[in-house]
Amino acid sequence: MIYSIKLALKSLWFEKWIHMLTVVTIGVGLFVLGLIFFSLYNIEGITSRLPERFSVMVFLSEGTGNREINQLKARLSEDPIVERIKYISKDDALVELRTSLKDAAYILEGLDENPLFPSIEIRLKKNSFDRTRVEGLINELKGLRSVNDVVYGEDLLGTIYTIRNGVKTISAGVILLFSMAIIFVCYSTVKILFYRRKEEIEIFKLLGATKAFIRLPFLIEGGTLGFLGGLLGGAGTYILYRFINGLVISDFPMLGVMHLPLGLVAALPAGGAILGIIGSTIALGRLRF
Amino acid sequence: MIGFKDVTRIYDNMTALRKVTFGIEKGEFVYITGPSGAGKSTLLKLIYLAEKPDEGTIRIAGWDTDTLRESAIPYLRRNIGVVFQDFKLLANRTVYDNIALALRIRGFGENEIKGRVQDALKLVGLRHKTDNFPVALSGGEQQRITIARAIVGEPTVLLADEPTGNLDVDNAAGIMKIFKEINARGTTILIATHNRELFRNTGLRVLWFDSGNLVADEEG
Ligand SMILES: Nc1ncnc2c1ncn2[C@@H]1O[C@H](COP(=O)(O)OP(=O)(O)O)[C@@H](O)[C@H]1O
Ligand SMILES: [Mg+2]
Repeated sequence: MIYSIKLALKSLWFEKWIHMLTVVTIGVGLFVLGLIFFSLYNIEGITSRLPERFSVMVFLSEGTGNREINQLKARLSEDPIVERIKYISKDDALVELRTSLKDAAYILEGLDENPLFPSIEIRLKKNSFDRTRVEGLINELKGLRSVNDVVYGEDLLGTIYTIRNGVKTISAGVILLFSMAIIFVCYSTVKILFYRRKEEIEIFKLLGATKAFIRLPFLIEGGTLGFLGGLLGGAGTYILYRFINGLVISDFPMLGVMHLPLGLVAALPAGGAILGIIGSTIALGRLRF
Repeated sequence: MIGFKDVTRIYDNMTALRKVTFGIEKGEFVYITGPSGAGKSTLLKLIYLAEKPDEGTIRIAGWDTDTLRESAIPYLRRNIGVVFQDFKLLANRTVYDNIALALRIRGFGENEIKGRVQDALKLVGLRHKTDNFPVALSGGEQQRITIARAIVGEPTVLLADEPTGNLDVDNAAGIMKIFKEINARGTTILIATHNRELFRNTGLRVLWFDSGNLVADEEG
């Protein structure tokens, strides 16, 4: 085992130019993968918070009694997709309107009677977005006599989720493609090394080396190449992330909510190592004695 | 120790060995001889499993070629030291590393390796060449390094293919002396050679081959 590591390190050093090229290639590949995962993570993060931001406004009919309102509140509080509800009376609504109008609040001066409806604001649970269930709830509410109208940004949300799913599908394809490309790069590098050491391997076999003993240095080598490529790609992703945050945050505060999870940066070298080992394994093929 | 039963090996349409049957006991010193092309090298390759018999069965150290699994081959080869006709030394490694390789493959620790390699080098009289590369050595010296590598793992059988092929008489005598010493420690030895001078008057067993047939088995 120790000897296998030594052999691998020696070969890594001896063939450093071809290896440098491989590492950079893998690094670029993993950098792209890193960006995709980074984008997916943030799209996921932003969109999963959307249901929380979009609330469902249930406007109640004129003259709905307290008993009906309480029944409705109880019904909503029990619903599994509801985070919390807030009852807004006619008066509350007027106060809120005044506040939001600020300086223009004088336009309300002429009213002798409050023209607003009482309403219930429903906050949906985070991550609980499920169109059919939300729509089911809305249709149920619309059918009630005590409910005048239900307002919900369903179309916008629907569109966003469609886009999100599209992005996910495309990303999955690109991830697969790049993973295969990285495997192929490791495969060809290790294949070259294997052919260069063909004579040596023949002698190893004749002296009684097991297949594992012969394979291990190549697997370590391929894994190390992938790992180094992953470090490079991870560093690239991190630097780009810092760059974007530093540059853009003041102009587009919306992007300030982007996060680069440390796990992702750490996953790149690990993923690179795994892809490298897969490529090396394929390159070695079936050894025969 | 080694048993051949009706062993035939055919290359394309060339029969290198035909229905060969013989047995060798543990600790024996046996010469395999015959003219060039008689099948001597093929016989050794069959023993160290670089070739497979087309017919017949070979038994080696309790294993046999009918039931041998591929995964067992490395372990069987560790029982067999081979002095290859073309040496098969690694040009990019020192004498020390070439010999140590046989032990590293077996998973020995570096401390133990150091002692054993020194002992093997002492036996072949080349301790002062430890750090040289094979190219810097004469043919006789390379031959002896190959012997050191073959015996360093203490195999039960030692095979040598034309070990004196390109050597002058003095060198050849030196090599044969080393083989006798190894045999005296209990190692079974098979030497393939076309040179009759090597075994003349030694009183050792000689298997004579001609065109793939075992034509005589002279007990010593
Ligand atoms: N790999 C091979 N392919 C085809 N023919 C071979 C091969 N190896 C040996 N032979 C043939 O088998 C016969 C025996 O060869 P070998 O065992 O090397 O004889 P020896 O060592 O006694 O000179 C020869 O005729 C040789 O040409
Ligand atoms: Mg020969």
